[in-house]
Amino acid sequence: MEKKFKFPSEEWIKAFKEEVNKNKAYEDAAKDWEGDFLFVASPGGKLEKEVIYYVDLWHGKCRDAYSIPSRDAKKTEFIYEGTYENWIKLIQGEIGPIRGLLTRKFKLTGSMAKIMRYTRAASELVSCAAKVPTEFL
Amino acid sequence: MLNLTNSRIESLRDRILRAKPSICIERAKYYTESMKQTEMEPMIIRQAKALAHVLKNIPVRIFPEELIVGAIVSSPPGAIVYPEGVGLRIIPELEEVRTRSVNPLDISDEEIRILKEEIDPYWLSRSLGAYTEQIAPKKVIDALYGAAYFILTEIAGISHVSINYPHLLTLGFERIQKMAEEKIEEYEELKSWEPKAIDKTLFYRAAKIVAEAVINYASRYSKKAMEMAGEVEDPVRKEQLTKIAEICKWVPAKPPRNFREALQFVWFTQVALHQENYEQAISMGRIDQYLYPYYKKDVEAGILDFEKTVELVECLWIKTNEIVPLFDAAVTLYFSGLPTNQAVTIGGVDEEGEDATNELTYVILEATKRVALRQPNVHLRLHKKSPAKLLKALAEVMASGTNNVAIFNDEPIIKALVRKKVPLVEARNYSTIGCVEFGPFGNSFTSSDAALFNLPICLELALNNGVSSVHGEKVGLGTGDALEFKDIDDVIEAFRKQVSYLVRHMVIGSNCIEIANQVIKPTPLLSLCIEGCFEAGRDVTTGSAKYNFTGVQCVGLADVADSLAALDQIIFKEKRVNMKELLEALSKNFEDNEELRQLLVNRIPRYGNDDDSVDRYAQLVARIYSEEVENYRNVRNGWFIPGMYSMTTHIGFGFLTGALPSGRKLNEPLANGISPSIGSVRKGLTAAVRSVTKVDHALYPNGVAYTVSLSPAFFYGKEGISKLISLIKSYMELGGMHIHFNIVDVSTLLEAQKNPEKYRDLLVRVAGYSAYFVDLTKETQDEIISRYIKEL
Repeated sequence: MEKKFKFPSEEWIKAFKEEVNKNKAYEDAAKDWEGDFLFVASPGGKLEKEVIYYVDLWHGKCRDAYSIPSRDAKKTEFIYEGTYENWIKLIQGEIGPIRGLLTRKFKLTGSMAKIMRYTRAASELVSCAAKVPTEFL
Repeated sequence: MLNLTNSRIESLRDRILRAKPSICIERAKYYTESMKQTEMEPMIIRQAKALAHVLKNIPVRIFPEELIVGAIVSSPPGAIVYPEGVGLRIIPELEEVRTRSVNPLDISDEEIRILKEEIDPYWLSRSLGAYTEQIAPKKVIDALYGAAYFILTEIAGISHVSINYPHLLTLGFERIQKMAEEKIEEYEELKSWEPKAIDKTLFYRAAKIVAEAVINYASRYSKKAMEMAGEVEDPVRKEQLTKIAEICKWVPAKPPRNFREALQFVWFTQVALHQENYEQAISMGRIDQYLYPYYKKDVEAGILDFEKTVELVECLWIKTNEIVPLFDAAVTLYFSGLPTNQAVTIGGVDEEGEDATNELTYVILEATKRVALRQPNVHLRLHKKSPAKLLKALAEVMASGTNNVAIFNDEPIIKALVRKKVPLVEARNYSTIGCVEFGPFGNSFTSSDAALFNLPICLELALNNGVSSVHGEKVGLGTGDALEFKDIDDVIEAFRKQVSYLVRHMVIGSNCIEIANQVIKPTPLLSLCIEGCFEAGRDVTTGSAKYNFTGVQCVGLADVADSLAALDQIIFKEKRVNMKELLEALSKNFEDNEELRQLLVNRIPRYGNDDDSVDRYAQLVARIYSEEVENYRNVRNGWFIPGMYSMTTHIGFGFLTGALPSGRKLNEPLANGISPSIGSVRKGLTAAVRSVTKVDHALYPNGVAYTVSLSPAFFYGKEGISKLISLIKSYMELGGMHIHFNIVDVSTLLEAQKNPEKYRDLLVRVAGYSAYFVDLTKETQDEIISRYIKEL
């Protein structure tokens, strides 16, 4: 039986990093992207405590990805933040990353224009997340 | 550039220009408070009571030196939050809104708390967007939130209307209130058996509530002015405040007795309408026509002269700058520059087709030049019989570089309206709305900015069998493998099918939102301001205006025309490149094939150079969109009508439209309005104008935007003014519908990018409206800089 990774967990973000680094479509779409993120799942539903992933994306690759204890632990160019339920919807492909912003399901801190320039790359990142065998809370 | 001769105006202007804008939550607070209290009542009554509650409680403020009073927000300039529309989209960004790089807005921590905890939760499931999501098909909602295909602006509310001030000024709100009472009695007593009696009674009850609310609002100002007059020591100001108190006691309750009262009447009505309807394009109509009798009477009585009238008009103009829109980061990409587009129309022909220019037309032009602010959107109607003196005055305003006047050509506009079955007499009496739109004055609700539509993405979908290269999803129609296309006609056929498919989605979405507006956002005050609604006893959202259109605009005409010309020439005629190679280059954004891109950009004829081989594609594409749109009816028993302008959606859509056969790359802006693509005008402005006017503008009864950017060096001195007049005349003779100019040096714009603090009041024309250059996003600033034409 295929191993499933709990979302959220340290294992899950590592698996996500691996998926990103083997995704050619992402590499092409983000080949000149420079910028790091905090992916934040805010508490709600079954998630009791805020979860924060640091994700460093650079020229089509994910250089690093791990969880951090608080937002202050890393200063990043972008913060992409939503409730746990909305992260599930995103990972399962029910809402796209840009649609998430337009419908207020996600909040972005950082340049919206820069993100819009890399819409395809953002979609590919979500595809990578969808490929991680995931077990939700 | 600036020629202020009046210290009052200088001081008022400075205050509005230098103050950091803030978010005003008062309207949202009182509106929500009332809506919570009236949950079980009929919606039109709830809306009327909510407006009355807002007007009863919003702060009453009279600022130093003001002659026209009525603060549209508590601390101007400011943004009203419209929670029932899209106002609460700002919630996730509130923490950063004070310090964001583009258009920062002040707001206190306590106000943020109120918005987040008391207002937002109530509206999450009750807004126009929430309602629309329940009734619109999933495909339409998916396309809408793709943000690449079309934008449906009515999700924010309706607005975009020209107010029937001649009617209101004649009656006054006391008379309207009385008329509503008479109607209530009629339908409750004499006609109570009629099937529609209950609905009509509700409408008139709502009418009575809002008419009374507007009168009471002005009374609050009268009292405030009297109080201030009692406190102030300066005898001149004391007298001014006493006068203000007297005026506010009289209008808008009663018909104005003089020019100043008429201006105050208009402004109180504008303020009240902005509390009811969101801040886009609540337009003042043919202001030089309906105010002229007051002006003439006062001049004859020795009360007014040219200078005093200019000052009063400047006072009103400054008030229109008190409001800015509340846009979040995403919306700012599509509507950059804080536009509110309160249009005023001057000049033009009268109902008999004779020139209607009067002295007030010149007063208004002069006031617009002197005050040099972004609002209102001043629109001068011209025609074959416009006096030479008027053209000269206009050219002088334009050459001064204030960049805040646009020109509308009566002939094609009247032709376009007549084509849509508007009788000639009413077509001649059109007024402008918002950016470049127009409609019969005072009796039409054209919802003129209902949607904006991305044309180039339809070509992208046609070349990819319905799949968006950016989203990677099949959003369009399966129109076949482009490798099988045998000639340009196959491409055009696929393009037309994609346009048809997405226009239908847009229409469905627009109709759903119009239903949402009918159900959850009737507008009883606006319904008093458009002929036909009161008489019918129905809200304007239900289709009670005499004319009911829905205006939907296309974006990126030039990109499609250039692309079709390129495909025709290099793929099908010359066969220099095959379709497979081109599609591969497009999918890779030309990254491995810059040579091909250079060929497309430099060797293929471009729209904008008077070259029929490509201009015919612009004509064709314009016809395709117009025909598709005009197939559809709206839910107000009117028709959808096409327009061609973009606000800054040409930049927003550009982020989500893949590379095109024209050589345009992903993320680059699309073409703006009917203008040629950036960098395409190679044979000078005269050739560009010829190309632009080969498109039949009368196919676009919702308006067309043509922006021309030139160096002021072209227009120095008398000779320069003559050149500008000739240019305007030629454009009109060739059938151009609308034109406006950016007359400012590129070097000034580049300098303003570097030192924005030194250029706070540098105005530019964006796409049918003026904006302060420093308020625009970097992307829009760059796009404006790149528009410049180097020769006439």
